[in-house]
Amino acid sequence: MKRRTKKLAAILTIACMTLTMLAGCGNSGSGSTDASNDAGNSNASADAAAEQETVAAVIEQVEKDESRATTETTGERFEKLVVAINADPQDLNPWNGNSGTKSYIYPYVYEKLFDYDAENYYPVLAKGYEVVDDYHWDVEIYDYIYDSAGNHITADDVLYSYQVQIDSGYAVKFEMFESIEKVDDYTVRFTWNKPIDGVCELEWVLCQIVIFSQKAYEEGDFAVSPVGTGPYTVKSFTAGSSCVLEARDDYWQTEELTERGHHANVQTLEFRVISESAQHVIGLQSGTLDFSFNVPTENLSDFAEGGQYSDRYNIYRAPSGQIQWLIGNMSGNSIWSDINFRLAVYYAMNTEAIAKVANIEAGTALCSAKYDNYYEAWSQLDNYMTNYDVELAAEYLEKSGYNGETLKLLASNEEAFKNAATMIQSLLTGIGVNVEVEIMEEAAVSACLTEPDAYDLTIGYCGGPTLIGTWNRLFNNADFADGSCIGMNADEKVPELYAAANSAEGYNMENLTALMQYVVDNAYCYVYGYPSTSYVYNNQIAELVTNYAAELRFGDCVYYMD
Amino acid sequence: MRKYIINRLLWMIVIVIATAFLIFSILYFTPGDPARYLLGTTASEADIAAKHEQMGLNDPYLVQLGRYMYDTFIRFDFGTSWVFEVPVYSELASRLPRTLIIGLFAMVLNVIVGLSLGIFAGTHSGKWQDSLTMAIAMVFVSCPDFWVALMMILLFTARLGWLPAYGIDSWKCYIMPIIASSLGGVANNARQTRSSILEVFRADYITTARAKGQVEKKVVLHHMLPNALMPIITSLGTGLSRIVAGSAVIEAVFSIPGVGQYMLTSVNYRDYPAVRACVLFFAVFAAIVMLLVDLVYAFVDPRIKAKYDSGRK
Repeated sequence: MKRRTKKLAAILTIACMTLTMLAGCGNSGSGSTDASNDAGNSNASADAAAEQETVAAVIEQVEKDESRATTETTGERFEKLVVAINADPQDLNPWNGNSGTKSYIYPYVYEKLFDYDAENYYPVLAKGYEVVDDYHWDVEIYDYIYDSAGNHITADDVLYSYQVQIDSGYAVKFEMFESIEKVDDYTVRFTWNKPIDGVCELEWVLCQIVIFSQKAYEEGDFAVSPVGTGPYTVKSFTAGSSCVLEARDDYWQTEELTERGHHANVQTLEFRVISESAQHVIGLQSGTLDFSFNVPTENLSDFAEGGQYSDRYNIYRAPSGQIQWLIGNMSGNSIWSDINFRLAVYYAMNTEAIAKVANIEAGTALCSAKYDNYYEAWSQLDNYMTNYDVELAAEYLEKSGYNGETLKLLASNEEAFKNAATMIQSLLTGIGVNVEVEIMEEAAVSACLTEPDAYDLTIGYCGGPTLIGTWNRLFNNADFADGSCIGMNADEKVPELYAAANSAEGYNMENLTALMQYVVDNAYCYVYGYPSTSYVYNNQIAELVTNYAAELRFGDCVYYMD
Repeated sequence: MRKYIINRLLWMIVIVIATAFLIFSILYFTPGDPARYLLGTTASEADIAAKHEQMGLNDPYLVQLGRYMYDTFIRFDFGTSWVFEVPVYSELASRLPRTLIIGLFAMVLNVIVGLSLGIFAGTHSGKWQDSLTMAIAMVFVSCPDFWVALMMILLFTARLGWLPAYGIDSWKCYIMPIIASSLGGVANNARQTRSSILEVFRADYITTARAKGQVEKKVVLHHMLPNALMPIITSLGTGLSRIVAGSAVIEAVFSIPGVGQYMLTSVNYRDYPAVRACVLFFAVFAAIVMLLVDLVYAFVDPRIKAKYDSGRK
């Protein structure tokens, strides 16, 4: 009896623990569970998923209360803001600043010659630029730039900064760059190896290279203690743990000329590295965090209106400027070369269902509303991105040369893509197309994209400040290995149309629509969604403010001071 | 004894070199391009090719292996992290204390609590105290570290607000990581100690000690425990290695920038110099711990010391 009681107790303990663990792990798997059902169930589960509306998808920025005192009205700084980031910024060296969580910290410490938006360069350290001829641009910098250590920045420092970053191997998209030389103490001359006519073509050369003092760089250790010209200086940095920035009282630029993205409305800005998103929720709940980009979707309702913590926090859903797509491999005699097959696949896609399991907004066109040159009419067009029609898909499949072979769907191991891939597999099974999903790390997927035999169809993402830049990986053969962009489409008309739209003069609705229409008419690409980021933030932030490139800048945000 | 130690140290060198060779080869043949990770998806093929050249990835396997072995074992240079852009040695040195704090304090908890519970259960064998202690130990053995950590955060941070859930700002930040790291080991040690105590519980010398009228406390501490220690010491040694080498999980949950988290990040980013250095560190650490365990055997058991001294293993 005693032994039996012990056994029973042990079994009960194990059962309780198993149930608890399963309960804790069950959030994001629902999509893939649905998707892995048989074909008959797949459409039902997809429809059910589509009917559910995420809390975050409908949230707008909370309006500022004009009756309260703010940093704008008082002219004072907000005391301290603690921001959770989900990965280690690794180091603070002055290169590769737009990668990962470095991009959250760099803009406050370092500055570049120009900022940019979809079509313009905005002077920061530079006063402006002069186009000398097709191959030469002169850039003059302000003559009163000082970094946080008091070093005066001159043209020599600009040259040195460029050299350091070119040597680092991180100066990408520099194909047009030939050289940089000093003209006088405050002017440098860029030499290009071809005329500059692309849209924001110099984004990387002029707007991603940070400028710093040669003296400070040679004497200091920028990896942990950088010295930049930005409105903040690094007070402390512990790799893997935190980075604390302090507002500079001696920022070099005058208030009138300080550009968007370069203000310091917070005295102390602390970035905490917290890799577990559950910990972000705990930190917000316990009041030790003021801002998080990584609150899991299932927890957002706690912070939204009517939620448990809505008295202290607001939520804003920010579009990220990316699109997520499905593309087939059209190299050689692939089945994807058959337009009937492509149309069959694309009409079988339930966009809402895929977007739901990927936790993104459903796609309706080749671009999202994030872009300035977004044309709403594209979302109203009658095509496979706005119609989910299984019968039509079956008709096209009948007309195609598909013989029941199993196709390989390549996807990266990120949760969103894994779930989307499983849903796509399920939807295709529903019309009788056999698909096996192969999950790899992102870099491995990237390496496979130009190999003809590595995949049959793939999903991925691309983005950028401009619509034409976003389409670069998809349609600009000239920019990728062996002249092949994703999908290895040999249709010469695509890069031709791309080139027409990718010039300062040609970047207009007519050319962009022509390219989009051609791609859709030929079913070359299917966009299933637009990812976005949910900000959960302390309601002491009165207004979220971005820079020209629509990136959030805490130093520019408006804060309540009462 | 000295001969034995020298012998073990020589074996350690062989083990470390073999580990270095293995980890280099495994990483070399692992799919994934570090340059692509570093430059991101916007980089062109030309950019990636240039980065390959800069990182020395275009050299043949043997050239890269030779360079790595020479740098590591002749120059004692682990190289510079491809991702962190700082020397791996300095990064390890700055992170090691945090990992060791958690590992060593967790070990101390293991020893104190595990031994106490094990002795308590062993000396109350068959009674309800024994059943209760072993049931608790069973629960802790069955619970994964990360699950215990998350439950503790929910209780002590979210519910009670007593302890910080992340960071390294104060000593309070280390309390939960240490406890979460140690619970599994405490339970294991308790079970191991109980089992060892039971083995010697009815030995003749224990009966003799009791017959001579010694108090039970003295019987346990002076007669039972020393004779039951051997398997416990082995278990403690492997436990310490496990805590330190398995620190990645706890460090990730509590956002502590230790060696474990460094290795985890490095693996994700294909930062080979950092991964290789971390693996080597863990190999050396485990080898040293096992050497210490062997030496402690000698102090605990005079028979083993006599064997070492006579040159037999």
